[in-house]
Amino acid sequence: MRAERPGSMWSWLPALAVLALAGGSGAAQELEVVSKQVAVGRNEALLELEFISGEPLEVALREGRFEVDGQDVGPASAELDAAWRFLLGQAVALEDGPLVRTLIDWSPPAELEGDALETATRIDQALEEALSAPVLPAPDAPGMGARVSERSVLAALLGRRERMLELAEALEDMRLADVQLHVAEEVTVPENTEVDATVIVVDGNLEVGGEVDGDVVVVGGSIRLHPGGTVTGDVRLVDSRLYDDGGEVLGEVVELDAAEASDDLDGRLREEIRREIESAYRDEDFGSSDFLAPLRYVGRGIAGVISTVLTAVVLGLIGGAVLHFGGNNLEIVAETARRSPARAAAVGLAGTFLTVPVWLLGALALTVTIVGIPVMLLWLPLFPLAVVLAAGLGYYAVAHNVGSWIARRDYASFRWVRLSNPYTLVAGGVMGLMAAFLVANALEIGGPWLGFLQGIILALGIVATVLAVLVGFGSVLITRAGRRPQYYPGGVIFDDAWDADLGSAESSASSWTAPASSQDEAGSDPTSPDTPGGEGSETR
Amino acid sequence: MTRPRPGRAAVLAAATAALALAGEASAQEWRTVTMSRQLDGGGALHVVVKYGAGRFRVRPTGDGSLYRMNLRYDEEVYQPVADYESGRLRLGVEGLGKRIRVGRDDDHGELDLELATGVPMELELDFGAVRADLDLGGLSLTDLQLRTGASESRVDVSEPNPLELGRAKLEVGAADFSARRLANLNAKVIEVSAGVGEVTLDLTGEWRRDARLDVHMGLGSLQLVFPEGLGVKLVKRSFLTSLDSQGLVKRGDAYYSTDWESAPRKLTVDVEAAFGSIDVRWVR
Repeated sequence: MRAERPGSMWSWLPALAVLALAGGSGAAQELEVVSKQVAVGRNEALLELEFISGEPLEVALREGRFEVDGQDVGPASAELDAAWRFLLGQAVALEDGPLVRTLIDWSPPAELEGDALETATRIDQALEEALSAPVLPAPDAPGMGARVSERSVLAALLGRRERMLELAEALEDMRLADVQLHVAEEVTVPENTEVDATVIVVDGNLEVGGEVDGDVVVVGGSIRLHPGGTVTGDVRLVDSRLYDDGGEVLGEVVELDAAEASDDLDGRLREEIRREIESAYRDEDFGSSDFLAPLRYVGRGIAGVISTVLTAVVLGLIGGAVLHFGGNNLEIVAETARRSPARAAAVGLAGTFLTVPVWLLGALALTVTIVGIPVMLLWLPLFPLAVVLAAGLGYYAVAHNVGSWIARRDYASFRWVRLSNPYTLVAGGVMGLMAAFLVANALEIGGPWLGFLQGIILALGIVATVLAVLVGFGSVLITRAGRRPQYYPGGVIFDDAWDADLGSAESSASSWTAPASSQDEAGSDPTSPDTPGGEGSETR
Repeated sequence: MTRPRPGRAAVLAAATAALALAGEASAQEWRTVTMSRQLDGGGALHVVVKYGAGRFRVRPTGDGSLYRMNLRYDEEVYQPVADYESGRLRLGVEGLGKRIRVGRDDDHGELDLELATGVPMELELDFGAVRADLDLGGLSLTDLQLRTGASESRVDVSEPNPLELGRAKLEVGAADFSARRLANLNAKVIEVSAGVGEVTLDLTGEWRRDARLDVHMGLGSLQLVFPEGLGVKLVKRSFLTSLDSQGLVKRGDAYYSTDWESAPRKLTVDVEAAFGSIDVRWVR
């Protein structure tokens, strides 16, 4: 019977798979192990192998019972458990040939008896059967060896798309009544045996010492004809070689061009590659994990940095306006904050706590007086606004001081902050006060590992900001928003003596005194007046 | 099959002992797994290793294995990953979505990984282990990405990379990170991003091309170790970072080694740092 030419490469696959059920016998050769897994836990001891054909083997001890490829083979005793774990201990250090030989040579421990002995014997048989390579059967020989399953043949073939194309080319017009298909196997037709079938070998080698009564197709391998070895039909070779050591081919030997078979299916391959790439992108990660997470951290970090910088710029601009319209007041507040930060902070803290009570009591008092009700309507919104403005003024006053500190340090990145320019002092001070927020945002770029440090720095930034507001607010309260100086901005205390001498100040400019603690500083401070009655008098 | 090297034999012996003892240990959820795969003559490989559960070690191997992984993990919390398909190898563990138990200091998972030296490889390591000890010597690297949040990470390139590596990217969030013999990477560009902590970059080894080193640091100290004879140009862009420019001379905006013009191999170092210090050291 001549088979019809396959309409597509897929149409003959089921037939091939069914026909490939013709198994082999013999256990003379060892399979090549490409992958090994040994897993041992409290309730589990597992050996998993993958052979070059793609066929897996799993022997597992789970919860006191053994399984081979998922099939229960019996219970384990303590002796068998120990013997199996010892074997796995050896398997850990071995690969490929030595591993296979060790597993094949394993035999049930002598002390076993009863069910455990039966289980061990089944495991032993399963290992030997699975680890022996198939040999083509003589027609009358009983099938005792490892049989290549339809599923594994299909799996192995489907994993070789290019070979499938070449195989389709080779099978054109070929009779497919009786077929033995072998993928990635070393196949032998022993001397004095006869195989009545078409033998197809993909990615493997065929040794013919007996007789193949049919055609032979070899794709991606070789066929060796030993003396006396005979193929009664044709031999078709795709990307393969024929070695004739004294055998005979009664039909034709046809060599097919693998490239030609592949060319007309390039489009299909391209489609496959496209799908694989898409799949790879979809499967970029280990399931639930996310490799894009670092990019998100970078994005969030950069956004945070930009946001902080913009905030600093806006605050700096507002600070410039405050300086423009209330520069003198701001400098007086700043001087108090610089000279008495602790006192200012205490006043600021007290003021903060008292703000709400004062607001409420004020509103109450105004309400009680009846006539004060219209004033109360103004009091309610204006008092909180005044508090906010006071806190803001205080914050900028402290920023002014921070800017002065930075300017004196002469940092390369902050040379634009100059003592001679109060606007840069405020802007630089705002930057300085927000530096912690900037660093915290920058650290987010580093990923989740820096979260704890980011939190610490963020907390430091918040503490610095709160302190700046408290000190500044306190200074605003002490100086009545800069209208009542406590210190001369250049380093002079406006104390009671100054007030007492105020009357003669116009005639006696030498009545101001610089405190001992500030004289040195005043001397080096470019804002200090060189002469009495100068800038200080103007400030007052 | 080649004989196991002494170091590997020790690892195997330890793994064998662990396997033998695993069944006798009581009240534990620890599982020990050994996985390996033979070289299959395939082409370039993209290797992704992800691990965040304990000690992490990487070694090269030339014994015919594509990889060998010895893994000890808490099976209540993690499951192993060993996926090889279409030139892509993924190894490590992934969480089961359960809360990680914090145990005693010596009670943690381990991952020992050996990778084949003769396979062109794009290597991606992502680990947040307690401690990491990596030897990438002799691996045929064409691309390297390393992300670590480990508290202590040691990277050594003990043997030269036989292939040219376009870019090595090291992202470090660790408290302590050191990399030795980075010249052996044979990289055109080495990028180091460090968040915080102490970072030591030892640029000794075999220099076979001119290269560039970009370092971005947030907060901490950076120590640069250069071999004598290597031409070094260092550009620093920093916020509040000091520089101990031993052996370097400032010209314009950059620091140069005295033999910059005549050096057979040149390395340009660009450091961008926020807070901390940069120390330069020279070794023979």
